Amino acid sequence: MGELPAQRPSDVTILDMEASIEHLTRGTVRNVGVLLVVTEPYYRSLETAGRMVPLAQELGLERVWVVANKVRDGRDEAALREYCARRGFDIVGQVPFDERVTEADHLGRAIIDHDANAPAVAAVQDLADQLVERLGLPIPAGV
Amino acid sequence: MRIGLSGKGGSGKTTVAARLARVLARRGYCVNALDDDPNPNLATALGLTPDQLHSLKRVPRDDILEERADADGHHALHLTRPFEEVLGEYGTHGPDNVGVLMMTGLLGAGKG
Repeated sequence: MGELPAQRPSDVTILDMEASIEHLTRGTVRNVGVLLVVTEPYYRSLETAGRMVPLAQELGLERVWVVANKVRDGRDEAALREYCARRGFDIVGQVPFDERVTEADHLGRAIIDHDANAPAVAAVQDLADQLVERLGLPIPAGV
Repeated sequence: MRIGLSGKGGSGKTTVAARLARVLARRGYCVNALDDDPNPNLATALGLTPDQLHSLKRVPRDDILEERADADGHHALHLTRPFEEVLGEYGTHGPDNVGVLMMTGLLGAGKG
């Protein structure tokens, strides 16, 4: 779409995009200010990210950042960081493997409603901090 | 600011997208969450109630989009109606007042 909703500075649109690489076209990329490529720390997931990041950049998107998800331990983290460092990918957030995500999913609930103090929520709070800073989002007034 | 999320299926992009939407909404941002995934799970991940989920209708392309060439001759899709109106008709507001719309297949269509 050439024109998504007109935005006030404190407006944020979150776009859950298709998982396939074919979906990344000039048309889709034009609609976002930043693309977060979510990846797990195992090979096939990283491989997909490894194709999506440069493709999005080639299509003209400057901000293409990686979010590491379901990171279980130091080994997972190291593998992920090593891969991203090698490819020159920017990791903007890291979310731990968190059983409460699966619990919430089974209950058909959002994890923030199930357990707002869960590690997977805290990690997304950190991600939000990073995005606010890097994207220069205004801090909403009166909250 | 429009934040897109992609990633291999199963990577958790939808649950991360939903979590991020809720977190930003609680910080006072006006957040709309658009589901462009052919397998639309974003609304559930956002914590919508069954009633809210049932009220969601997939946005039909022809109702709200038209293709136009801009000054450079690039073809792009444009909204033919105000977004709030589209949201009111096809979408809903979920917890923390996050606006939710199912738009599967609309993004990237056209000659772009």
